Amino acid sequence: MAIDRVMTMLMLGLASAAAEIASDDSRPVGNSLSISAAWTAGAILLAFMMPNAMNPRSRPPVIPIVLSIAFSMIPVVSEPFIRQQTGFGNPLELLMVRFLRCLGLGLAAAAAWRPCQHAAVICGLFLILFAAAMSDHRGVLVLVACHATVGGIWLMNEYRISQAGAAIPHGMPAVVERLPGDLRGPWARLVGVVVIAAIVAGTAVWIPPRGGWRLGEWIATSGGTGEQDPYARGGNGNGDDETEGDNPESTGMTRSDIFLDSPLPTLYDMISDMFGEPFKVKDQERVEALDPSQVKARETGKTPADNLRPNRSFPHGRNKGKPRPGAADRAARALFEVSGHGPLHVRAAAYDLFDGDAWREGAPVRASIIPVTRDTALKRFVMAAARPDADNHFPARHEIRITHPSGSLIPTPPHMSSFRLGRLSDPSFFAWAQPGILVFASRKTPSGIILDAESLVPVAARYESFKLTPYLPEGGHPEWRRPYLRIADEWTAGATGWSAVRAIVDRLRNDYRLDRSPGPGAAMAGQSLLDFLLERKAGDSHMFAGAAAVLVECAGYQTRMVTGFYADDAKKDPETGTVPVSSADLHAWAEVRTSAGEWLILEATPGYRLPEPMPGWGEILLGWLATLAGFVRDRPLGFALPTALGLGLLAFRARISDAISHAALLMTDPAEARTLVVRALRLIESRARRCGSPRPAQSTFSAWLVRSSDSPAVAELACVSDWALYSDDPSPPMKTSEIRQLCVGCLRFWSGGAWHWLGWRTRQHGR
Amino acid sequence: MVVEDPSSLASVQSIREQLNLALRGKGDAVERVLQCLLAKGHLLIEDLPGLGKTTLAKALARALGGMFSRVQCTPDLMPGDITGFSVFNQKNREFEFMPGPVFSDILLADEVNRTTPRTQSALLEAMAEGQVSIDGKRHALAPAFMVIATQNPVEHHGTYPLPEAQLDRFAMRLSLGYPNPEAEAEMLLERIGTTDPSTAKGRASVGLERLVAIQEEVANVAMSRGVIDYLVSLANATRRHSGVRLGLSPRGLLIWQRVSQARAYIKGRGFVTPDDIQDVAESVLRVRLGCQAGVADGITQELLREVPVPA
Repeated sequence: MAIDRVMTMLMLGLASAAAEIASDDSRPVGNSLSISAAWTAGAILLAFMMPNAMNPRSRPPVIPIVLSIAFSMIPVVSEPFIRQQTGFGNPLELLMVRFLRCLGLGLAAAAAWRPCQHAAVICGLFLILFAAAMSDHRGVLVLVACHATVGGIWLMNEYRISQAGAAIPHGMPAVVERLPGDLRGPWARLVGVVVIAAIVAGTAVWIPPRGGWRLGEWIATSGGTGEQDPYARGGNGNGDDETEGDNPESTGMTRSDIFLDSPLPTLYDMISDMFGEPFKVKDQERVEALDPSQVKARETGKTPADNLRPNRSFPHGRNKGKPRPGAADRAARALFEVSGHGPLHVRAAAYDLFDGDAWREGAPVRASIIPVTRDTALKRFVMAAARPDADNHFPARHEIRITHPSGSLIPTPPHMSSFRLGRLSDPSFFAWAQPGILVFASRKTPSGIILDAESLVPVAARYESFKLTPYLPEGGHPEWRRPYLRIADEWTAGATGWSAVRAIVDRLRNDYRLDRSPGPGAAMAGQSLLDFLLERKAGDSHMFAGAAAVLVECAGYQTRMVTGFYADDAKKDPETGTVPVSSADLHAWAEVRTSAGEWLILEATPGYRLPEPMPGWGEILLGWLATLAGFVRDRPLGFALPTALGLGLLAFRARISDAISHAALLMTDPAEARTLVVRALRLIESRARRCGSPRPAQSTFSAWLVRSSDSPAVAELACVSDWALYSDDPSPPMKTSEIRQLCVGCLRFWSGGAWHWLGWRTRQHGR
Repeated sequence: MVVEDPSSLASVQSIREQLNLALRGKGDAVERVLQCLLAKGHLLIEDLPGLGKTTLAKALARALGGMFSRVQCTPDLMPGDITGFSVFNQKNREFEFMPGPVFSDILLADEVNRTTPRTQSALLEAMAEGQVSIDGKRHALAPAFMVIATQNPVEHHGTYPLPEAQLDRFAMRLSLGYPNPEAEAEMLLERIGTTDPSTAKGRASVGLERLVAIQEEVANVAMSRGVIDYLVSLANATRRHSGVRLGLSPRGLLIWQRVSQARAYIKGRGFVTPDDIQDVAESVLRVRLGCQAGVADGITQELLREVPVPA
């Protein structure tokens, strides 16, 4: 293949990879490179399917153009199917870029024609422009540099070819004028090198930070960038936005007054709705001291936000809750929408202390100064906690759009490492209500605000590598814990550490059943959890969470019960690609504290999962292989027979097709002499093609046959072939029976096996 | 399917044999001359002196039994010297037309590029329309009139290259070249004991009426639609080719068709195949493709490779 074609394909491959990375620079570079490599491989295959160009400078024929356009239409045509299957859709502008990418690759496949080659290079340049404008990713910069290098060589080659085009034909006189050396200047090369170096350095320094944004504003998107342009649109209707400015007074919600006065439901009401009202315990066993804020609240008749109330409690004994609303129910309005790696546990409240029936919060840590810092370069808030080890964590990114907020809670991923919330730039706006639960310090959460969070999620399969510190409650285990201690001992069977924790969680997941119907009622108040563990063995998620938390604590490790929301990626909205989380997604789970102070989720409820890292390509491939192996193991005969049949058909396809054609020829009506001859010629041609000596397109059958064999029968067939193909005379040159005999004889001569074909080929090459 | 009258082919064979006798070892050139003759075309021979151009023309005239005349073209040759002129007869006091050498069956215009364009163009009407107009009167030429023009490719001083319009009227351009050693030896052996080569053994002539009849039969050779399309595709390809300044004209296309018919006829077929078209392509296109000198044959081969045959 000509070097210019290879370089054109290489340039388009690089441009395609750069555009692919730039189109989604948050995913792993390997994925983007794999996708672009697959498209490039497709284009290379297409290049092999292209016909040969006799004259590269001529206008390309229809076939390569049609093939290129068909190739470029693949992303456009497949988009509706992808949307239907995955629920994800690409934005229109990205679709246009992918169309252009495929068009460029298709034209590069047809680069044997120079007009196609030039058009392909222009497509590649646009892709590079797109990539440079859309992303500062390092991979893009590297690919742009590679593209520039290959492009430079391509241009030099182009210059060389154009010089060759101006060459004087052989035998013509020509005058070559040689310029005197001093006209070119002694320092011309040095100046050239300096200028190129300056351009490259200036580009490297200047283009990535500013030029990228400037160029980016030329690319139409569904929302402006907003980075440089304060008047850019905030995106595709993402709701209220923050006003800009460093002054905290000016950093507020543009439509705050609506939310401050709105009677939105609190988390407390929501929990009571979904899990049922707690039983009213008749005998007063507990006296709660009111703190000043609650006293003030009672005096003014206003209740404080639920996560500002002291000593919140979560009793397990509850009445029947409301039925969970269906997806189409108006009551199932999303509180927030999650996009990103799923499933996601969003903490809302955590309870550290259990008194036998109800959970209560531990020591309040609200209003503490949050240990987050603002990274001005990234424009994100970064958790001050030590960075966990990369082996046991995987990175995940989530975008949570708060649509109907509840109180001052900010729904966050449980293992968030950095985040950006609207335009907020001052850390004093946030507070930790409890460890791992972020709230607004002195205000309610506005609607429409978007949290962009990055997390380092512990890998559930590698929990064993997290160290657990043995824990005993202050003052030892109280009396009421005896049954729980006994159950824990029985289930763990003397194991310690993660084995004990796994034993408890697995027992709950396997032997217990999720049942949202209410428990035995007020009669069992105070004993609900024991009743769940020993008798009913079925209950709502808070039962599983409470049981896991209590039993793991009895096994000797610090736990807590957490209520919150479970964003299940199976519920992803195909239109928006997000998971709407409503009150129906209220969920409870247990968490265990590691020695490093990290709270790890223990998902004891059957049917609920913990997030797992995205499998790599190798794992996906292994998964497929495993599935295939399973299929083969289960149905050996059902696999072997079709496979053998398919392989046999594949191996003998030429002979089978030949036999069918031969049979069709023998069945041809002898009176149809012309049809008979044409079929025989086609069959001979297909056999010759198969053995690597095809009839040249510019050669007639008669010339080709005579060249290929000295046999008189072949000479006769050549004569008859001229009549059959080019004469309008209906009467054949010999009797129809003779023609049939001639055709059958010639076919027999050329069907005796491989050695015949070898002879054919030798004769062909010998001439 | 085949040529109906076997005697026609016998006549063709007779002409072929006589030409082969006159021109030893030039079977291919003889075939071209035959094709040109049967296609009612005119022939341009570009060759060095002494290679048998005049011998060929004379032998052809003799084989046909027609009249042969020769014009040696020089810069001072006037159009009237070719076409003829009127002279005043003192006896009957009238102008009388004195026919020129063009009023023959085979006209050999030797070194045609040495005469002036004015004289060259005198041949235009004769070659294209088979007539000449002198003093406002039309004079029809012989029905089998054929021009064999020659030019010397080496000496260019004092020559007037034939214009494109003139070239397009020739059916083909040939180059005879030197005979091979065996043919030359045979030729020398033959001449031993012969004083006048023009009286060398010759067979009976075919006769001009017979030739005209054969030419009519050639025009009736069939050409299927697929083959016509192939010919048209080739013609269009010459016009698209980047190396060709002036593509094939419709007149050239008609000549190509007729020469292909002649080739099919000579092969004894009643229809044209793409092989006929390919075989005559070089000699037909060599004379009329507007391209740089010496590249016409290469371009022709390139076009034949590019355009697929109907099959």
